[in-house]
Amino acid sequence: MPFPILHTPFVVLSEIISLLEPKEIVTVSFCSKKARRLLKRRHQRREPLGWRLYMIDYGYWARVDIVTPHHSYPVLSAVHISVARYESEHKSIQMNGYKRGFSCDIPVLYFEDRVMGSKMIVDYVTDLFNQDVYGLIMDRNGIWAIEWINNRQEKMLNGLELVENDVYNCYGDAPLNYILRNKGATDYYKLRDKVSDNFRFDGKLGPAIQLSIHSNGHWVTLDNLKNFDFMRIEVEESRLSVSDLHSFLEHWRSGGSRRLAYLQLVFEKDTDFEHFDEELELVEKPNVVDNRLSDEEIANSLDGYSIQRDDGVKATIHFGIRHFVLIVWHPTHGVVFGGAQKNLGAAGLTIVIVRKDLIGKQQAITPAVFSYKEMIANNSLYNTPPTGGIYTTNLVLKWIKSKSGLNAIYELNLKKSGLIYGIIDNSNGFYHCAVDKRYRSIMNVCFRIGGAAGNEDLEAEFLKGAAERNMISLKGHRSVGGIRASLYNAITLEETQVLATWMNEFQKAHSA
Amino acid sequence: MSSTEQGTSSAAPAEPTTAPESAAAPEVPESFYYVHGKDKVVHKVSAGALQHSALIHGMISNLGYTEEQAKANPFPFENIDGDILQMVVDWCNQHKGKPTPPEDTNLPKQKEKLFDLVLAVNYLEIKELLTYCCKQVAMMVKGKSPEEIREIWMIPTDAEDEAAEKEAKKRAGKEAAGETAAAAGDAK
Repeated sequence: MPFPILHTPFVVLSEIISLLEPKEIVTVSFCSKKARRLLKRRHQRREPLGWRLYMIDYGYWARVDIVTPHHSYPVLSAVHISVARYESEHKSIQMNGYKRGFSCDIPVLYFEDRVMGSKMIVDYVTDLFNQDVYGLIMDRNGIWAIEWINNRQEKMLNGLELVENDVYNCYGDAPLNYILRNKGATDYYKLRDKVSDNFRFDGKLGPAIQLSIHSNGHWVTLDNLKNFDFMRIEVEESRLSVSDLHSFLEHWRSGGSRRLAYLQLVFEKDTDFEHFDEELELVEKPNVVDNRLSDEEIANSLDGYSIQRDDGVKATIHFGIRHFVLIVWHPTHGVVFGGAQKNLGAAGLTIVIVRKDLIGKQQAITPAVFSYKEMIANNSLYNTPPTGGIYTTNLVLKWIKSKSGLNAIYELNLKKSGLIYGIIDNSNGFYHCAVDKRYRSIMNVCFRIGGAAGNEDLEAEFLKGAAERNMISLKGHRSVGGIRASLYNAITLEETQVLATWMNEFQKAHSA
Repeated sequence: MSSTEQGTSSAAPAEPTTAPESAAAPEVPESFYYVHGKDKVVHKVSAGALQHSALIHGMISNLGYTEEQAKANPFPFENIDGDILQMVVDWCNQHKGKPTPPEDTNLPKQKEKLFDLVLAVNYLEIKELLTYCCKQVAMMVKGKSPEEIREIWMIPTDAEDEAAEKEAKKRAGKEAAGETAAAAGDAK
């Protein structure tokens, strides 16, 4: 008995759609233009929580998968037209530029041109669900898709996975080189294609979260390892030697590869670790608190050799004839507490990150309004949150990400403040900064003009000239006087250059 | 020292003993209301069963009817067929005062009536039953091709949609023309 779904009230229709699996939504969208419009409108309004869209481009077929928190669903695939007669259970239907069939439970589109087919199914599904492509899984012939995806969506691909294809009985050095040099993903790289013994890579990769070289990791050299900026690195078929590992640990101990939290090497050949620990400068086991791991997991992980970095961070090493594992125990903060102030948004907003196991251990006198336990239990605050400020901070965080993240912003701020401090330090005392070089702020550059004590007339003249050049609020804090240049994140390098130019000009005019 | 410890430990179990009492407390006699559908057949339903319907629950919670008043004033649901209302009432009675298990199969199997049932349940705002019905509708298209789904869910093809649109336009045009003609006739 048919059910006239388009005649149901909107609420009912929405509920029914929400009960469909992603592939069923795609199938229904092929029923008619009207059905497709309806489904599309629904996903434009509401983004399904935690769905990720993957493009898979492999040999003679391509597919789009949607991964929800519970399942992975293939939703639509594209194959070459020559396969059509074997596969199609239902008769395929001629559409505009392609044939549509339905096999193995999901809709299949058949194309003369496979690349066109891949593009078409990605366009179709991203449009229907209003989602960007999250990850790309490809063999070496699918390399073209990296640039294509990154050009068609605002957000860069999160991850890339290069898989091996038995069809190619040769090495994939060129595609791997392309991937390593073009840095097409923000979060992870998984590499497993065949590469020749001669393959080498001399660049950097990262910062990102994960690098997995699942086979053919023989090309990874000590220099590569030092230049991979990842939180998690896994290399299989490694040819690194014991002395390479010693050098790497030396590099880590003196502050290299700071982001690294986990390194796992699986060796191609048996490796002799005899006396390895004697050169390690072992320290006592760290006291680890990590609520992502169970006590047993922590105990097992700690059962190895522990070493220490210059700044006190400890790491534990495990090794056997075929493997080497390094686990870094990053300092676990109890509470991270900070004001948005100017750099993260408008003043009035406080950002707090609390370790879960500390929640509920507040002093008995803690007022309810300050109790994290109360906030979490009620999933609410006692005060009305400043939604405008929260919104602004969200925009700022997105902006930081779009500028390639925290490190890039940090580097930029170093450049900005370095520009001004450089002028101060090379002014023969005309500009004077009272702060010890080791403790200088890269945000607020404070200085006096005309010597250590400052010449208030000169400072007033400097401020006047600055105002004429559209720079305001350079006057120092009322308690100390002098000049204070605030180089907050919103100030660009170009704007800082304007101040630098004026400082040089001013010095020339007055020290002559 | 030990006496205070005893004091606290004996105070602790005092709480749960009060709990069963409060659970068994409502000894208020059950009140009944009356509903009828298009066929005017009146059903007597307890307020407890009617709680499932947010619509009816909202209506009766402010009325304060006595038994006689309730009997004299059955709620008319002229837009619901008698047999559909019967199904809904049965379901409400079966699920009186208990939450529905997620995989509830205790539902009329008459698929022909599913559409009317969905409309009635949506109108009466019986959330759990609606979810159940929607699941049944969603299940209909499992593993089906677009062409099959089009039949199952009565989705017109693009060509049919276009034809219907043209037809609607034509009709609208005719009506507009008719009106202007009538208006012209009035003017004369």
